[in-house]
Amino acid sequence: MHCDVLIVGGGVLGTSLAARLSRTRLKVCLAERAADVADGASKGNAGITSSYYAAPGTLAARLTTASVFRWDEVCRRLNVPFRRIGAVMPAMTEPEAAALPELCRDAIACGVRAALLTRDQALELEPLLSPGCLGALHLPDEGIIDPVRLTWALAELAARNGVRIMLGTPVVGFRRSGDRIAAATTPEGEIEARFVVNAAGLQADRVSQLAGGESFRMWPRKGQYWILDRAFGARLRHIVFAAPATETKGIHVVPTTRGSVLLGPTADDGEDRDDKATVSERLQDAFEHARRLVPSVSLDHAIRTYAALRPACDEPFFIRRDARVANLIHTVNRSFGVSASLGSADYVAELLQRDGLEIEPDPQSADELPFLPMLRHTPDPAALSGLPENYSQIICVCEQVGAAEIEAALRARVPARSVEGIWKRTGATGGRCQGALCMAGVLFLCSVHGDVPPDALCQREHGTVGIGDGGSA
Amino acid sequence: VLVVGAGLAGLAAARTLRRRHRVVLIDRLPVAGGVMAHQDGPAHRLQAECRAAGVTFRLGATALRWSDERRLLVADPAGFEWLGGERLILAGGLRPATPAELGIVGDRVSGVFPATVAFHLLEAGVTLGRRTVVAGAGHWAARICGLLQRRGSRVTLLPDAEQPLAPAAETWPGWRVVATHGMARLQAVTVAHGESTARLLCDALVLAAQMHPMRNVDGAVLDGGHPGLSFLQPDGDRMSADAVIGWAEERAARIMDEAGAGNEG
Repeated sequence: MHCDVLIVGGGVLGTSLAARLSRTRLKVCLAERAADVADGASKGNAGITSSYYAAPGTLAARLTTASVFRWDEVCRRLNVPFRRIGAVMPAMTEPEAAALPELCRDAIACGVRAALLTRDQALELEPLLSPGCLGALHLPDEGIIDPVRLTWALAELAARNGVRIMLGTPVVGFRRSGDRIAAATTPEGEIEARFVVNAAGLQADRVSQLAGGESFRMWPRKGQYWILDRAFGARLRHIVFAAPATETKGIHVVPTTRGSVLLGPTADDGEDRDDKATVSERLQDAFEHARRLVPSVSLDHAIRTYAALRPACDEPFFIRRDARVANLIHTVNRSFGVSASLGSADYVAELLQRDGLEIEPDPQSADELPFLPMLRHTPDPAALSGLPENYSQIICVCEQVGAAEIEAALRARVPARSVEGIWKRTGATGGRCQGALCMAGVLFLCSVHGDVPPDALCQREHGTVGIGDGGSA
Repeated sequence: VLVVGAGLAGLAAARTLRRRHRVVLIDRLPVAGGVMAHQDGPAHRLQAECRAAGVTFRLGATALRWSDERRLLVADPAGFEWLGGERLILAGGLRPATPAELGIVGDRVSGVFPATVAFHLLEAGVTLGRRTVVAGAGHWAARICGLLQRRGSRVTLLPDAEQPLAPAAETWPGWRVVATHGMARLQAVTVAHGESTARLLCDALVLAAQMHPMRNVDGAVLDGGHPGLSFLQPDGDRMSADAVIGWAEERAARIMDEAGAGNEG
């Protein structure tokens, strides 16, 4: 197989680049080792579209700024939940209060809105803030997004425009020709490519090593989160950020587009890239820190805990051509991959063009996905018309997902193949009963649609439901 | 009055309330009687009495949202509808506790099932595991243990001390699951009893340990704070059918008395 650009990695950076390049005449492949897109940090982050992340003038700031005002439009075209609800960062101590003016100046210098609030103004804006706060920074351009659905939607758009999305396809080696990669080796065979983009997240160092490229080291930074029920989320209006470098250790309180609230993440550097286990003590820490910012958070509302691994690196963020391999570009981002994803895709395209790839827009390519309303995000479903007939046949009650939305996920070009795959695309099974009511139904729909016996179906991306024929013990 | 849930409690409440109110009884299943009781005599009798008394049945309809304007969004295969009501009584039954509610941490693996899901899968002939740990011993556990053993799984049961036992190869009374371990699929669980812990090898875990009220209508989740909302959900799953019916009748009458007195109980 031959392509112009091979993207290694189906996280938000890889799929946003795939979507970007799918609007051109280039032939593009994306190889993801997991069984689905969004299987690493892209499914385990807080779902924030930052308005400002780094000091003005840096590439990180530039790419975040290049993304921040595009979310409304991109999410409308791709039918991805997004709300620009703004963030407040309360100062809980004098040193924190002293740090806010500089952050405010930096944010404004990056081209986004920011304002310092007195204690009373802060509490009026966000009544759930701790009354002990001394003041706050208000960042009204911050937004919340469904990062998993975003990653899938970008892949789906790319696939509809002809990008070949190869799931369950690890890159296990590269064939070199001089200072260039000639082809990538996968169990599916060789993929010849003029350019390779390394968007492999936590595995980026290994991909570089396989290619004979630069040596850098990645390690997992584990983040643990609580998800609190919508019953609490309905009362919280803003993202509540911990001020940087303080006792709160970056534990935020973040509303999600599904109406729930995240508390987290913790940050623990480790070695084991497969260790996504939650640990009681660290979860308790996360809760205690979150409670300093928003005292009314309560674990009585907890519906789930999870851990995810951020791709940490000596250099936390870089996009550049490899120093040794002429046609290899790395895109590594520890913490703000979602926020910078749109700008990063454009920037990688610029680098490719600079290195001699001719990028010609394809006017025939689609810039939006077919629209099926998400019931959960529809204020008055009774006013909808022209729906598929099973749209109002509800499967997941907690998250308000009907049979038509689940079937759309199963029939997509980048389709759901597991219970978790359905969750990624629709939210079904992810609500307050955690699938007690609907998981069997979701599973049987997957089973019938994919003609896979229920035993052999995957519950998560890896790991089958049962241990019958075709199942793994 | 809108009553959501046509199990024994919902049916009994609807029959009582119909004496003084117009009543619509809504259930997501196409038959009344609830998940556990639709084949039983008491449910049949109650349903006949409700119909005779003029309770309006909306079966096969899912209640989704309760608005501050006291309208209930209901979905059925024909579409969506907002039903007005002075009062919403949620009799949505019980569900098994989630891992978060049980304080279970550890690896996120396949092979962990709420009891309700395990029951449906076993009924459909799915072999859940060769060695299965069943946490809890309520009525779900009793049914599931039998099904598991018939499918050749070795069952380790972790009942609360005072729960009635279900058939199992091994029983560890008073022990609870605190963590799951595995890479893709479950390989073991850590169990604890007081200060002691142990590791049990298993490839499936069924969560049947505590029953929580099913609260899946948006805007009708918390006790108190929502206009016109009352819950009719028993505390645990150990009441007999007759006890549930008596309890629901009494509670429904009290809810309406309190509402009539202007007390948003």
